[in-house]
Amino acid sequence: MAKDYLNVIERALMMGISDKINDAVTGEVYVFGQFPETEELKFPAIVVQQVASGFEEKYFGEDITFGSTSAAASGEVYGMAFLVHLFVDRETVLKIDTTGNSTPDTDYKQRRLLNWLMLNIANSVMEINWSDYEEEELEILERHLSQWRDIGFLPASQWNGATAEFEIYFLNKR
Amino acid sequence: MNMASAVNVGSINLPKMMRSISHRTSQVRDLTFIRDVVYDKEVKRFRGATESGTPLKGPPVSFGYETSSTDDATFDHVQDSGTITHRYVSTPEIVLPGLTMLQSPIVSRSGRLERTGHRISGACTFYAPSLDYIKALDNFKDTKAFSELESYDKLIDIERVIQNPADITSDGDQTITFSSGSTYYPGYEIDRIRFKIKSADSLTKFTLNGVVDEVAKTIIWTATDTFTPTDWITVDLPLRNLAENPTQEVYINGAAKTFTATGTNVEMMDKLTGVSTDYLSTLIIDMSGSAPVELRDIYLYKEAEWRIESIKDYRDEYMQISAARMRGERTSRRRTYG
Repeated sequence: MAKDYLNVIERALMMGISDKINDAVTGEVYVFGQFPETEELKFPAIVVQQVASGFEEKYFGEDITFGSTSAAASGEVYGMAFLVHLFVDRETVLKIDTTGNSTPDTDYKQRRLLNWLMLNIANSVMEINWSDYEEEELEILERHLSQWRDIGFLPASQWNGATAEFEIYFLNKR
Repeated sequence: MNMASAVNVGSINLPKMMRSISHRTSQVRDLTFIRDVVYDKEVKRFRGATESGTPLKGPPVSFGYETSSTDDATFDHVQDSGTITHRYVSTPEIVLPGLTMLQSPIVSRSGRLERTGHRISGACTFYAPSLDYIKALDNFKDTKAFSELESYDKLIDIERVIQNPADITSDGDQTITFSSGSTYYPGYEIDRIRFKIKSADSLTKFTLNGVVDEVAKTIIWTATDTFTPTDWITVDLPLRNLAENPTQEVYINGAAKTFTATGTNVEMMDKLTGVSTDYLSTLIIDMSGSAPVELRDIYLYKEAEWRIESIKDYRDEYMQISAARMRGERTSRRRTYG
């Protein structure tokens, strides 16, 4: 069967971010696979956008071992680059646990909410257990959420937002 | 045309004006409104490949891309704010003929050689009656999925009539012969067929016959949902670039009736060059019985597909619609490459 790693990883990443970040808040954080249409946009919105992919590293003989099997297969390290966009509108409120007693106690809004989300999305990405979300066996080698950038306020829409650059490297078994 | 008497036609009464000037100019166009199908989108509410088990926390994840499904779908998902129902209401293509607008100019084309080849585009302005008036028109008023004109809606115009057989009043199945004897008509310019039909029997299918390399070929549009056109019904369906077993909708009093295309060569149109070996042959309209059938305004035509780009709505007066045409094709290339 032809491999479908790019879709599987993209979907697993969206599921993983949504599952982790929503577990950490009271209220909803919405994850979208592309910039949502106006009719379905809800806040806070996380948009996962794949911006690049390609071969990262080849091995001698182009042989790899993949997953639980020890038999050699053809393949190499493949990389994907994502932009993860985060938007929060002026009215959005999430209740956050600030005392560590597992009881959300404080309303976070606007820039305070954005700051909290940036760090916790980064944490969520690092904690994703791919086997929970993969729809086909994956072997993810590395993940780097390198930086949040373009953090700011969009006056026309009154949105706070930020964009993270994020890379994933995986074994591409052919 | 049955109009609700309460509809305000505005101080300039554009519908009446269009009726008057339509006798003097063909800039008053009889358009078919088409809105593409809106598919359900792919969403996930459970982890991994499963559709059960551990639910994802929070709202369902929307991957953003569409499925190919127009089946009604709902599911409940428990999240912090309560149980949320994901809901998709079947939204098939809307095809509503009989929309009259004043167009200026009628045909606007500019060709440009681009990296992807030769592309023809154009722009025009339509002047349409008010939305209230349109929503009171036959078929429009019954089609609940039609609420207003939107950008990216399509308006299909008859750019040129290629074949216009005489109106028919007769009984049972009807055969219209285009090419007979030494006359061989081409079909490569034809994009769509439109006709009005009225009968006490049901329309079961119609078949367009052609000859390609001296071999008989057919395009058959079968009424998957048969219907009885006791009042005048306009059928408007495509003939070119048909995929394998495509379906299209014909709306009757707001209800979508599905037609399915089959045949020995659904891609034959471009090959009908109008010589003794490749030509348009006959149109056969099959009815369910032998009751009287009336057929009129039978057009096999080259379409102009306009996409709405912007709408200026002057409330009860009229709407000024800017439209773009992006799919104009050179018929010379259709004929050459078949």
